[in-house]
Amino acid sequence: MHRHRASTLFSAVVVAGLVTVATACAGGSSSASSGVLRVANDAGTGSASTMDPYDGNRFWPAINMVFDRLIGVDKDFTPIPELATKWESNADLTEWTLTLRDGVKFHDGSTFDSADAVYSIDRMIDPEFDSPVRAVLGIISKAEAIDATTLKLTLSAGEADLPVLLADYRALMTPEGSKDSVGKAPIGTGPFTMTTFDPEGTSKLTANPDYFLGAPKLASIEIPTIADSTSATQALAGGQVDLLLSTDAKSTALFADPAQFTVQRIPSGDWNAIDFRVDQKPFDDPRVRKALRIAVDRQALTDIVLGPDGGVPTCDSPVWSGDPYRWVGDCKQDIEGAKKLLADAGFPDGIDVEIFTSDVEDHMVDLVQAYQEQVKPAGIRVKLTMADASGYWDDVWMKEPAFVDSWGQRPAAQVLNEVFRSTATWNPTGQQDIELDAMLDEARSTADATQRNAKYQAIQQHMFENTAIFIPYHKTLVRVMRAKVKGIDPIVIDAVRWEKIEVG
Amino acid sequence: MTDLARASFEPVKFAAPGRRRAWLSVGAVIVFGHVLLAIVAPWLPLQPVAKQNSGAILQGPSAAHWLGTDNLGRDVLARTLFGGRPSIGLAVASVVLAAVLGFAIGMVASLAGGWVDEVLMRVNDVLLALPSLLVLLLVASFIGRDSGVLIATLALMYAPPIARLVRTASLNVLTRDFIVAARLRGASRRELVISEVLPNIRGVVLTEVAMQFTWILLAFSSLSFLGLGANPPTPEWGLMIAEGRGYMTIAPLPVVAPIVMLASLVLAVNSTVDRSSSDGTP
Amino acid sequence: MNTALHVLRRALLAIGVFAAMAVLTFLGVEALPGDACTSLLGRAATPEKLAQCREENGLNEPVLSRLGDWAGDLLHGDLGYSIKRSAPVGEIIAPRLRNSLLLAGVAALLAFPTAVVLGMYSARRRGTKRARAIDTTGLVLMTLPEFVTASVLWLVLSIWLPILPGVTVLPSNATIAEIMPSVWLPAITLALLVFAHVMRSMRASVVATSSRPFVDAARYRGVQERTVMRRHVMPAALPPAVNVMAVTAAWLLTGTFVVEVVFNYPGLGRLAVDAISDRDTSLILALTLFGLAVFILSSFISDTVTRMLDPRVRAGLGA
Repeated sequence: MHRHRASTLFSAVVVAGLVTVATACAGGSSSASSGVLRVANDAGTGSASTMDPYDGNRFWPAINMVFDRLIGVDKDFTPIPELATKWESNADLTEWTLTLRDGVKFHDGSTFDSADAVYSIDRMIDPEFDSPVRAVLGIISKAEAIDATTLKLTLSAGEADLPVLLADYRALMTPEGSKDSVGKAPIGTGPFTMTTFDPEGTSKLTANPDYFLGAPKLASIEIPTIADSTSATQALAGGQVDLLLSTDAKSTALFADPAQFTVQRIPSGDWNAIDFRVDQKPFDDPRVRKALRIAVDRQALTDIVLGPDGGVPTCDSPVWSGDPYRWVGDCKQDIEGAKKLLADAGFPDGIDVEIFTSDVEDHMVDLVQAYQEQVKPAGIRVKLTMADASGYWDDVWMKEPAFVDSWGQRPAAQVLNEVFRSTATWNPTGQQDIELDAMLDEARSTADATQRNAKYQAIQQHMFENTAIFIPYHKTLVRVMRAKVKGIDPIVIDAVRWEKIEVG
Repeated sequence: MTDLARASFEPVKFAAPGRRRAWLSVGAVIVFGHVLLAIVAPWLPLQPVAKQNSGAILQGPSAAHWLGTDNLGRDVLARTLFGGRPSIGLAVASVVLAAVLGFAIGMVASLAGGWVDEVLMRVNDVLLALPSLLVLLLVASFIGRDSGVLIATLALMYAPPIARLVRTASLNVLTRDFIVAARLRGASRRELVISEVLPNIRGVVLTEVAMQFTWILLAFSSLSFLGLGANPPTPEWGLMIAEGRGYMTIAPLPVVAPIVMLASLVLAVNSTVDRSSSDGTP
Repeated sequence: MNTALHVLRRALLAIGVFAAMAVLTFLGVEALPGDACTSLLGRAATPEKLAQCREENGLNEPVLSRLGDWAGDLLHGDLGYSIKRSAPVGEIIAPRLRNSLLLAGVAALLAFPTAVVLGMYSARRRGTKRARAIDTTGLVLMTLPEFVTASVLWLVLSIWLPILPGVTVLPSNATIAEIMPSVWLPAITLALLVFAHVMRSMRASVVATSSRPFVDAARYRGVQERTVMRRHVMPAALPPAVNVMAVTAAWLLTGTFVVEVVFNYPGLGRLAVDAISDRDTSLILALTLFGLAVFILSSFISDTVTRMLDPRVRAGLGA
């Protein structure tokens, strides 16, 4: 016993000694100056990040600080003026005319006008460049400048919700001719000017005093990149950053002290899914697909993967709880039903399924672990296969028979057309549902809001019957900041007004 | 860490004579306990290792979960007791393969001598110079984390020190008078290896192998920690530590329990090796 | 063999080993599935875009011709170009190398002197409680994986008594003054680890030397114990410890992946982990070569220093 006590004591002495030396030299940690907001970036796109808002590797934490959209969204997701002050359409919703704000200047002093808007929209919808924004605004067939402050958009089909689509957080306005420079030296109209862009280190932005919605309250913003999510929560707990745009619901206990931290839980439209390729056996059989989806207790799965209050269950609909077209179905766990469907499909002894996943994003591995346990009683035996994070989107996603998927929040019209339409580039399961396509066309060109809503509801109900995409939940975003950070409303990032934030 | 150990030298002689027995018993008993546990874990009255409880996430100890639950509401006690099986199995397999490989290379080099010896030892130097964790990261990331691949890689990384040791030890023995005498009598080299060299170097090699076992345990846990080791939902100490690390300040047990197990096994093996190797010194 | 000749022979050998390894590494990285273009394009990779990217970056050339180009550039000091990071590899590595040197230097300064002193102390006072405490501490510190030590230190020094920044939130090219506070936590973690290794080898070496006949002879002659230690034991006991320190220093420069990831420290270790998950092949190649070079150089240096320190070698007795 003596030996143990002595050695413990000694270890303590060694550690304490080293610490004393260390602190004597280090002189304590740094503290924040009042006008700086430090936002942690998760390095999702890493070294390939660019400030080009239309690029797939856009540096998402900063693009909305530097650039503005034509149309923004309010807290309740109704479209509000941003760089456009007015918009109206013709009767069949195929031609839209927008009036642009007068006298807005880019950071370099040049004036924003309709030529810049046309240039920006042309880049978004350029099939050669194939921007992710094209999936949202691809229905725009032509953008024309009528005069300096009037923009006309012609659509290939009627779309009642074009203003909502234009409020996509990536549909930002860049200056004419900027495609080669915007990636590293961005010039926008937004509340902040980027002075240093370093996606693997710390990016810096300073206030734009001439911002058309009023000068920002902050002097500057710093965005250090912290790739490891545990390190990021540690940095916030230790006061090295002020704001985590999103963190794990299960770690909020770290930030329980309201005198030090503000925790915001924001229902969002982000979702994970397990996708089953319909061109692979046995997922070509709709009975198997349905069995795989109804064998799950979605509330329990959501709680396990995301933590208590970490998400809102959904019945395979990608339309989230804050969307006016949201459909609330009944999809309780049905083990017997699943067994019967499997038996009917020729699997009376259950079925073996290999699901590919990767830790490329949080929750993607836990989802399969939880799913594996949930479906066991129905005779569904899941083999979890880890794929490498870097090759995941390229080699696994849309290629293996069953894999985990992840999507950000999108309005109903967009997500349904982008992921579920037969012809969509990113239809991840290869499912060809001609009936669904027709329903989508009909819904989007219905001018009457109530009728349109009914049609979108019918679409989601139709999908629940035979889709190959299992969507268990929408994530509740957990945003944590130091208590001194004021002016961030508990709403999704698209609607945060950066110029209104202050650090007390 | 593992490179450090791989490249540094013979185990250090340790512990005063009067205390040796105590170290032997404590260390050996712990090692034995770990091995026994790894074997009998499936027959213990534990909760299923994969069973999740959506109402009990990151909870402290309770009657149902003696060591609380992890971030998916699973029983930490069961996972910890099962958690040694993959790492111990993998470490044993790699170390045995490394020993066989290293032994073969070392013996061939020492018996053949000349250019064969020179070539083998230069290749050996080259393998020794490879940063092992970097190689493991590369292999696990690019080729895959299949246990066969990992075992082969680990064996290749850990054979060189054994080869060097065996060669030196066997050269030592081969030049002794009684061996020279035996050779003069016309004894074949193979006979000599079996009858004279093997028994003489057994102790040294066993010590090295035991030390390597602990380094491989640590290397595998580092790999799991960096997300390239064991496959979820396998209960494995390194993976458990990695999964629980983010919640360490909220629920320490899912991290502390596997750490205690991993550290106690490594410590016990090290102290036993220390003891037995100091027996061999004159 | 005379020392100069021996050193020359070792130097040539080291260069040969390095060259062979360089070629092997290049071919090894080539053989791995996936390339810079698949990683650059990620979710947006279409067959056409991939083909175009590979064409633009010369990835369609035969392996051997690319090996030749690469080796030629290397000889001119050009480490290559990272497609993923669109920057020359040398420029990417330079600031991180400085940070790694800083981290390794601080860790070595904290660990080596303490380890040598305590190792000698524990050897001379063998069997006492204090010596055993030192040994046990060393064994425990060696046993704990670095992420364990790191997490405990973070909890104590950054959260409970917040005196040190827990993670680095600085760009890799921050000035040394800016980055210094962030060096302490990773450096202490590394120091605790290497301290144990060096201390134990120092101790073993002193113990082994103390029982050698020439030391006993000096004692019988009535030389004071203090002088025996300084004049007879230390010179013979130091070379093996220097050996371990050289290997340790090499490891501090090239093996610190886990610690750098845990503390978000912008050094070579984190860069290597990022490069591997990015499939940034040119960067992986350069970093592997750097690791090899450091390791080969350290064993060359330790070999040379050992020979110079060893009294038998200096006296021309051979060893």
